[in-house]
Amino acid sequence: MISDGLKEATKGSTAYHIWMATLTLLMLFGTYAYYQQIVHGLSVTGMTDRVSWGLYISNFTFLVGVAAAAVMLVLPTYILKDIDFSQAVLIGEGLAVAALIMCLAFVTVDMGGPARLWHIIPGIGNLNWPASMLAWDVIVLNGYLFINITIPFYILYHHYLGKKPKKSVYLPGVLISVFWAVGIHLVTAFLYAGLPARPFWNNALLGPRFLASAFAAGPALIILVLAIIRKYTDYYIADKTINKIAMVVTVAAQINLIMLGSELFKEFYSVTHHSSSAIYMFFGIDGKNALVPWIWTSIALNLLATLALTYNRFRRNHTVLFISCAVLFLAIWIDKGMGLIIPGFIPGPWGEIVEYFPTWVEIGVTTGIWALGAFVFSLLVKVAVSIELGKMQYRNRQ
Amino acid sequence: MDKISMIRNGWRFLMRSLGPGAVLFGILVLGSCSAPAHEDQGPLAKIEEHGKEAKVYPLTSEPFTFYIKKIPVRNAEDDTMFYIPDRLGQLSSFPCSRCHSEPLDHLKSTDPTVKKAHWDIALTHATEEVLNCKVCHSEKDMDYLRLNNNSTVDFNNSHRSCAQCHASEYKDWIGGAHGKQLGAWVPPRVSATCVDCHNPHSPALETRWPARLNTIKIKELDPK
Amino acid sequence: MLFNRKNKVKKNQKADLTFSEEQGKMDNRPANEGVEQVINKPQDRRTAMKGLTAMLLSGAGLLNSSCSLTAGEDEQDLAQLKWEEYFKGNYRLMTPEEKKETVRRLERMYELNNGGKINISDKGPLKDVLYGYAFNISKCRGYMDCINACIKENNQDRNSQMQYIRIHEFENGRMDFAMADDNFYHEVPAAGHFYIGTQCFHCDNPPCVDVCPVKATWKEKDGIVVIDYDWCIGCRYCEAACPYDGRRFNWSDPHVPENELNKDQHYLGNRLRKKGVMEKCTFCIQRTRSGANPACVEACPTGARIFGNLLDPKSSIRWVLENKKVFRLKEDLGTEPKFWYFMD
Repeated sequence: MISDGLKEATKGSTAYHIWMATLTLLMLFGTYAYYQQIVHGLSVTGMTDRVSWGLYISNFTFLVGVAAAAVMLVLPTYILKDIDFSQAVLIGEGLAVAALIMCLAFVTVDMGGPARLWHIIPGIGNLNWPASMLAWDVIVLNGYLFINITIPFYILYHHYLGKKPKKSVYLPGVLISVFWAVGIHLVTAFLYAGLPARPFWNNALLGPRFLASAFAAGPALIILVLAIIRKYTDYYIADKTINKIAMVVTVAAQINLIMLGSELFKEFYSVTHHSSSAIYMFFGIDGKNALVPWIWTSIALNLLATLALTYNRFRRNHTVLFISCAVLFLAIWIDKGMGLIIPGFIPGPWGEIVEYFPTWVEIGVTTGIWALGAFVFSLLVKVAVSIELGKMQYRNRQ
Repeated sequence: MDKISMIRNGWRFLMRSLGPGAVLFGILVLGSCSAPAHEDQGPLAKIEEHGKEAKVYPLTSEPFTFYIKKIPVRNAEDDTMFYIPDRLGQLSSFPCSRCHSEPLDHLKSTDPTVKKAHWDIALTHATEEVLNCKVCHSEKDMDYLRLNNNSTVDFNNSHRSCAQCHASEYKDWIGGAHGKQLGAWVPPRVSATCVDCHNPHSPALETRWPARLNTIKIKELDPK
Repeated sequence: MLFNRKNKVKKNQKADLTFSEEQGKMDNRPANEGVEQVINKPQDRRTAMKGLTAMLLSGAGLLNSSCSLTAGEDEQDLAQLKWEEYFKGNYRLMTPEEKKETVRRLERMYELNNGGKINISDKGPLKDVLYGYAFNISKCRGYMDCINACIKENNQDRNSQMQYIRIHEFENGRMDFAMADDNFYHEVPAAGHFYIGTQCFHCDNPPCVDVCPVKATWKEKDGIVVIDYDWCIGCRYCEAACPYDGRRFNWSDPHVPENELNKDQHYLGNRLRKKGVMEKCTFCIQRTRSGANPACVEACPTGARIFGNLLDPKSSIRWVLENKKVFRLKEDLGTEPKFWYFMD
């Protein structure tokens, strides 16, 4: 199967080859940027003691949400026996795997001492579990990665052999993964929400809002991917499937907006010292306003996309739907990245406003990791689609 | 123990004692029925727990204060001792009576053959109504300082002269809140005495420039 | 030469000792035996080291530095020491002998790298001692002598101008840190202003300790919150968790001029750090555990800084707590700092 898979992954149309070559180039560029960072230290990034997490952790946070969103498709397919989603599920889980690999890569490049990462391995290192939320995150992310690799592998392998996968084998795994997906995102939210030092994060709504935005951004991305797969392969994906996922995206986006509204109310109705981060983000303080254009863009895009999705007529029009999904994805990426991690550090504990600007190294590494994610995802989808289409099967070899 | 620390301790106890296999939601349920551990209640509770007995150290401040010639000071409040640096040895023209046996008019003369000592002393300490030379320096014996009841005290114990007006500073100083503790935190305590920091003739500290400027911090705060 | 050899044999024995202990911890992973065998083969140890290092660490830091050494015995020695240092455990969990060994290795590594001798202590906490600090707001005049002394004592990175202490200048009438200036440069004290210094408060409930994913930072028995610089993986979660801006990160290789280096060091204190690890105020653990005052207290020209044992009823710090009106910063967070402020 491995050799078949490799064969399948390496052949394809010219467009596929160009796509993969571009990603490889970007990854090489990212590797070079990371090499610079290894040699000179994290001083080549825009991070400082005042803003000690930046682009890497922002992307990590966002991608945990994307990974968690796979559950939105898993749940109805395997448990509610909603056949509509079954084609999308494998794609969703592939997306989860790619997103998780990106998450782990982002965390690793953010480390000051990646060579000492073995210190977190229980047994030879000391994992500070259960006190540290980061320890929880290490466990849940790796666990989730494991689940999302094994279940699709089991199913695909059986399809490859031309057999029917046994429900009694994969269903318990699926059940666990459903709760697990909620868990990874809540744990990641708690990572920030558990810090009273940063009032902007120390907020009970953070976890639920993480979930809502994830269940909007993740399936939005899946819709876009399905649209591409539908266009470029013979893999049949019904309109009904896309419409149902669009429904999920819409509801999640609406809930996300309500939560955004209540956060804004809390920050701005009674302005306290704890609103400083929000004031900085939305309006700037003392002429320092690096985040202002970003957050307003994000809010505008978010509103626009959610409104468009809310009207049935627009949502059913696939051109509008795809554009809305892209817009929503971008809006939430800004919101969870620039709009969540960075303002948490501004102002600092003693009120100093030090702004953060990513450097070319950070942007290079980030681009490289996104390329890595896209690369992994393309490979997974290519092979999975071939198996599902029956192009790649064990009996074909004989 | 107040409620907040009870809850916090309960949670920490739970976080630390949970075995593997517990899941996030399970913890929340268990959380309500676990006994709080009696630890980490803050420094004040630890002080209370520790009791009132005086501490005996395997170390002394001697290695860090050996260069200081020490004068004992008794704390009348609890009958303990601490030390201050010797002052007499630092006075360059002591004994004062060597010159001050002559009349002041002669010492003040402009005759270049007469030795000039502290002709530049300007008294900027309280107002003239309150203080002049004779309030602190004994007219009878210039080698000593004068107290309000006309008794005298030597220069090593000048704090007793200061204490007559600066009662609250004196109390803080005896206790250890005012006046720098020199060398070590372990006993015996050696503290700077009043005149180590304050010029008795002009006790206010002067302004000066800070010891450093962090140029990188400036750049951080204002990149332009 | 002969002497060197002898030394080396001894060191190898020592190495074996540590490795077998390490092995116990590592759960006897099969690869280990191989590693050990290769390491102890004298001739090609260096090449093996390079290969293994590259393999295990994807060629990052260790390989880099192992290329730039002087040739010969010392190089092998250094490579061996680096190897042992890389695979050592968490300082907190080490036996007293292991602590002595790592300290000795670090001293030897400095000697091989820089030629001079340094003294690294592994002195533990004193019995019945809980350190506390009091800061007199009325006395501080913003001179910043404490900062200079701290940098010198604790071998802080000169290139990035790292400072543990910040002195904030407030306008009379409000104690709003957001309005304060912590980087002033004019004659001080400025009229109508007062000064407050902040640094690590060595909280009794330190939020930074709970969040560390690898237990690289902890509170010692005497209340000092310390970091094992060799165990820290540089995730900076503690820096995000600290409400007092108490922690500093080495964004690049720290630089201390050789002639300014403080050679009296402590493993948990002012020994040289490396790039990519956290550091912070340790109440000058290398000084205070032998009875001396921290460098900032020593340097303060106004006596605004008071340090001592909270458990000693006769200490100055206790007198301050019992007789002055004291307060702490951000008490609402429940961090229980062991750093108090008071006024005359």
